[in-house]
Amino acid sequence: MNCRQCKDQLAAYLEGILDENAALAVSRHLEACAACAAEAESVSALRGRLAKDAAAFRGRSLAENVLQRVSLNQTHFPRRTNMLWKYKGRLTAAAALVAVAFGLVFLTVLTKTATPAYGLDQTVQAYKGVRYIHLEEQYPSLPPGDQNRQMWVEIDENGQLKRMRIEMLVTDDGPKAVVWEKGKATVWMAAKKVLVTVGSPEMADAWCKTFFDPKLAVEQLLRDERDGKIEIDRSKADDGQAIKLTVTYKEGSGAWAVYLVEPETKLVTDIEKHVVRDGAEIVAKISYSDYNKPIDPLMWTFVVPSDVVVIDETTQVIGLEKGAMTDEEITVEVARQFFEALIARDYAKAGQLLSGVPAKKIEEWFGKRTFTRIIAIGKPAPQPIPLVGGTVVSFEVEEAGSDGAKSVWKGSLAIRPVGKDQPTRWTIHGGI
Amino acid sequence: MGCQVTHTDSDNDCVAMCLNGHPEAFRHIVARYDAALVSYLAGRLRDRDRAEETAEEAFARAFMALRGLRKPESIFSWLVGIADRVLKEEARHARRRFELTEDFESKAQAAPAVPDYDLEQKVAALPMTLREVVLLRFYGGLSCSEVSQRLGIPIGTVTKRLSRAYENLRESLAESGHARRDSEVLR
Repeated sequence: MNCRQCKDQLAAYLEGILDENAALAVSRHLEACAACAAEAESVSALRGRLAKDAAAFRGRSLAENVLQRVSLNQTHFPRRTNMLWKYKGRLTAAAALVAVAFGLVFLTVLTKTATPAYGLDQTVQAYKGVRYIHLEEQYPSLPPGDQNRQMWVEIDENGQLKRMRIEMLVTDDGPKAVVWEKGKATVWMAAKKVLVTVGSPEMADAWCKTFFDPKLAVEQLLRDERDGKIEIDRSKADDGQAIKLTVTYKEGSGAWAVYLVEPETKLVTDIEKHVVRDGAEIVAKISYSDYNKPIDPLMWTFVVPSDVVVIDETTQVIGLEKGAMTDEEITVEVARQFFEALIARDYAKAGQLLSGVPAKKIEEWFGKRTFTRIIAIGKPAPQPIPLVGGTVVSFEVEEAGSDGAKSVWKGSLAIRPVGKDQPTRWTIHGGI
Repeated sequence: MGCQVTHTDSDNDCVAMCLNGHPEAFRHIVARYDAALVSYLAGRLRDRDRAEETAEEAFARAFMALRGLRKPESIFSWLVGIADRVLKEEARHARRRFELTEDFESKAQAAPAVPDYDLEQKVAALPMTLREVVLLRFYGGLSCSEVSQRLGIPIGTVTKRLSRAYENLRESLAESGHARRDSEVLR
């Protein structure tokens, strides 16, 4: 081997990807040639420097930040829901045979059938093997709001909800994402830069029943059909492939629904519900996809910037104990103590009364202002927004400007019990 | 059943999934290239925090522009191109800010020389084909055969390019070393 050949092979040699003979030839040349040995040493040193520098970039993944941005902002890719009635499933010959076999077993439960191979039981059965579901829910008849959401759901071996992630683009708090696991819900409000954890053991149940669980929905259909409450018309979807179940309720509520079932898997791909409320028809469309596609573990965590307000209602003591006070009395007391804490620059206490926001953050928000006295705290009234609970109360606080000039800070506070974790303690949750 | 993207899937599959309404698949693209892109930007900017911010912006823009990506197999050079445009825009803004405020702050806070910005800068200045291989091999943590698959070039070409890159880097690092010594002597 000459120097030229050695030079050509050096990079591959240092990578350890030369075959045995070639590697031996290079190493013999390096032993014999001082110039090439020096060059090899210099290249090795450079590789070491590159590897050392590269190590500093590992373990600092941008994936979560980028995903947060794109998944909360992206609207222009076609969602599956847009393709609601354009189901493109294909029934292969083999699957058709399987379907017919199932159909024989369940023939007894069939009533009116345009597709005699299918019974609802099959769908209930099929869901036993499902561990992961992705679903999207839309209400085309309503203005965009937090009822339009995407969910990723993981189900354990016993068919119980293990964890779920919900993403909502439009809410009063801006884009919002929730991860529920082990009885706790962590809510990330990107626009407000707040990450709050609340204990919510009942959330799983409530959400399964109301929203995501297609198995429960089908079981309900089966019961309602047996009880004679509904009529199910079975036909083929417009594409001639999917099984279409049109459900009408006999009690004259005007409600009806369409279920699309994939013929191969017997899993529900779409539900469209029509309900009449106060004379107006509300339409809900839910599409189910990615059955059993494992969900990226990163979806169950939030990696948030360091300047985010982190609140954990399950571990932090928040608000003020109500004791024997009435709702009105505790409201006034929370408001009074909050402003007194601001006046005394006791930011830790003010933070505890304001949903458990860290003292540093309260100082950042209010530290530059000088409050001198409470002028008035109004008469509390029940919170007017339904389902929020608690009270609202107006306030007037005197403030001194940097030039000593007095001004009045007027506003109102919304105050309510902390939540399931600390039900007897009341806290300010909004309104400033 | 739904299709699944894993770390071993090609960029092609990930892009197809993103376009099919599965934005979460983009995670794999980010995870695959973020270190390589950030290190390249750190070489251009000599500032790691800004490099990360710029990379994040570039990834977000790339996602929005995914439909325009003609060749998914050259996604990394496409990402570098987007990052370059973000840099250009930032430089314009920075110039304006500098004119207004003289930017004393950033001068005062010039970061300590712990990160190897000299090296990163020289890597960033390599010709595109050499730079790509170095970034993916070292900063992207790929093996030579993985680099060859990802870029669709033979493994021999990968090592040839590495070899040329080493030569180029050693020369440019030596030159800047001399330049520094010269200026020290002059002082």
